[in-house]
Amino acid sequence: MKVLKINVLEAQDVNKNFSGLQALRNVNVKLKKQKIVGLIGPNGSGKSTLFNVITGIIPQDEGDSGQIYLNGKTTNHKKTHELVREGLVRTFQITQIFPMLTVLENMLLGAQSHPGENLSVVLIDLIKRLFKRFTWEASEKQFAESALEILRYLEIDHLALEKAEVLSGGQRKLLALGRALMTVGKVILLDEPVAGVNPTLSNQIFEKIDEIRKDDTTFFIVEHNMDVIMNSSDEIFVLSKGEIIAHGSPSEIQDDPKVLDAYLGNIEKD
Amino acid sequence: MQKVNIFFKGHKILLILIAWISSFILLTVFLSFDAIPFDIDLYIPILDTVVPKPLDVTLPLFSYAGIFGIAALSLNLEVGVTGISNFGKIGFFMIGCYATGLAFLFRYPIFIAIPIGMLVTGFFGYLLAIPTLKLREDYLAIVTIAVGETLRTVLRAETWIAWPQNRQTSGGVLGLTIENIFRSSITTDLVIGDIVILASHVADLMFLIVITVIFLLVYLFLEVLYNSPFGRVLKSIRDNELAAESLGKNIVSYRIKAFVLSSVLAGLAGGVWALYIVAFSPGGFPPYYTFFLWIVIIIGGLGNNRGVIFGSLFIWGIEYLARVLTSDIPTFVGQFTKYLNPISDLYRQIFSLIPFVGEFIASLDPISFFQSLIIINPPEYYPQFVFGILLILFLIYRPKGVFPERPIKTVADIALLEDSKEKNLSSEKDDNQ
Ligand SMILES: Nc1ncnc2c1ncn2[C@@H]1O[C@H](COP(=O)(O)OP(=O)(O)OP(=O)(O)O)[C@@H](O)[C@H]1O
Ligand SMILES: [Mg+2]
Repeated sequence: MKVLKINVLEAQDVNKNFSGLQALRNVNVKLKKQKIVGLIGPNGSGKSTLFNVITGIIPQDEGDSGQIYLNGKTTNHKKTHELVREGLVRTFQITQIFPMLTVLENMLLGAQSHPGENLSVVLIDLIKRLFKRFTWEASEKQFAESALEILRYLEIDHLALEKAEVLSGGQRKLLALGRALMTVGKVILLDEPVAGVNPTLSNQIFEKIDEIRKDDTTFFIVEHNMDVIMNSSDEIFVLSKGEIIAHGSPSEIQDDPKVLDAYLGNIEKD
Repeated sequence: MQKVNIFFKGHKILLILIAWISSFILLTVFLSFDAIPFDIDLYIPILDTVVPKPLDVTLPLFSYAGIFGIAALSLNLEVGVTGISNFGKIGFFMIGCYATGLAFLFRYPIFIAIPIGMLVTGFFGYLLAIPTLKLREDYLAIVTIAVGETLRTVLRAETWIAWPQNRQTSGGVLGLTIENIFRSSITTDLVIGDIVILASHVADLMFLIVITVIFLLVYLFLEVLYNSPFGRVLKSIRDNELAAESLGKNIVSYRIKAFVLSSVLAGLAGGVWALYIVAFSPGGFPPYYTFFLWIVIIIGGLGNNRGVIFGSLFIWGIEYLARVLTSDIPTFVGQFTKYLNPISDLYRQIFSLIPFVGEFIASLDPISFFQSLIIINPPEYYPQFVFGILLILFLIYRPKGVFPERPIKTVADIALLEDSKEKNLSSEKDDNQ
């Protein structure tokens, strides 16, 4: 099984500096195909920042260094949306939704290469088929069906036609997760996907994630709930003060004294 | 699956058309019934003819509302749907107006002159969009204000812009003058029984019909666009750029497309304006009009085009009637004098009883101050004044406008709503128990 050895995502010697504050220091992370990889660490240790650097949300400034490889190719200077096209998708710790659009529309925006999102397709359709069906309607229906399927799984399908602004905090988290799944991305980074979601549902979600990863998808997940992350990941990276201090299987991490130190040290300081 | 089509919403267009026509007829009839109280000759006929005078009010009112309505639809595409703050809209309108006017002077027929105006404006929008749409919103707003103002100044200074015409009488501040195609082709009065409708009114009525048709076409086009996945992406960018970007949408490219499309529509509105107003100069495109369009869409309802129709008629109603009324206001207020004077006298008598300062306070009589202000010097800022108050009231009490944005039921929504209603209602309820 050689294929499995390819690193779908690799961060090499990543350094990120916020005007003096070293948020990431020589971070090296490798994600193997079809794995669920956890990323843990105390508050402010740089987990979200690592996601931001990987997905190009925060640009590399002077003094920052490091390389990101997606499927073996460097992602240098690629914009976030270009990386999404290549299968690298993420959710945010602070949930990002489109409040004025319906839940279903939020989901449909996750769809990739939807012909109807093309202005020229819409215009040509309009001229050619004025009173007939538009060419993009078929794909729209298909996307909508898979969107509803995901919503059903996340137990928010009854809200499909509500404006997203009416959703509760936990429901918004679910929506953002569902939207990321809609993209059918190959590498999905989830920043605290089930924070504020009830335990039963969050277990279900991790089961679903486990199911999806078999379909050639890799997950990189930040999560503060230790039980959940230890049970579901194949591998875990631990960040502390911008540095990877431990890396291994969940059982190795649980026994690692450095990890305990990092968490306890943080508490003492507070 | 049931056949669902956006054009099934056609009946809404029909309703809008009916509302438009009936408000035109009602207002015209209302004005001709002398229904305004206080015996004011509201419709100050400029010519003493047998023409029903109210047409002098309603024809321009609805034409203005229609043409500026197209511009407001275009602004709504930017502001309400894509979230681009354009404070220089009138500049684009002006480019469309000049380009169409010039094309017309070169003897192109209107159905070519207007597309030329649209293309020129669209191209200009494209040139502007490339460097500016990457800016943050507040910077973009500043740039667009500057652009609108600069354009006006340039057109005022560059007299050669009127090159097909006599430079002594046109160009620069003098602007352009073109032929009124409708008025020059319709020269006979229309006689229906006792009523004689002047040829010029018939011509203007024809023009109003053309404006209405163009307005509805633009409206329909935008409805289709907003119902499409493309429109959905525009709204998503307005709602949350970060989320849109991280779902693979190229924000800059979408914003440029929306901006260019909107410029093309502004060019269309400008082109129609050129043919309607016939004589225009840079002074006729003050920045005030941009804010006017903003008020139209804010009061109507950002992101909802039905609001634009309402807003445009409402705001132009105030603006136009106020213009007509401004000269009548002294007379209007004069009607009240006989009621106000006793109050004013009473005020003085009461306050002059106070020792020492009484005389002074009595001289500050607010009623006669107000009266003299209005009767002696009727200000022209009444409509602006009213708009300002309206805008504040709306932003406080109804920030989403008269017609707030509602989620559009897209093809998928409609189809799936029906599907899932049947499927789920039974099974899903069992699960939840
Ligand atoms: N855009 C930014 N500008 C300046 N400093 C930043 C920025 N983003 C993050 N930081 C800093 O970088 C450090 C790491 O932040 P980060 O958000 O990555 O932490 P985290 O591990 O995700 O924490 P949490 O578990 O609380 O989400 C923090 O000290 C934070 O203040
Ligand atoms: Mg974080």
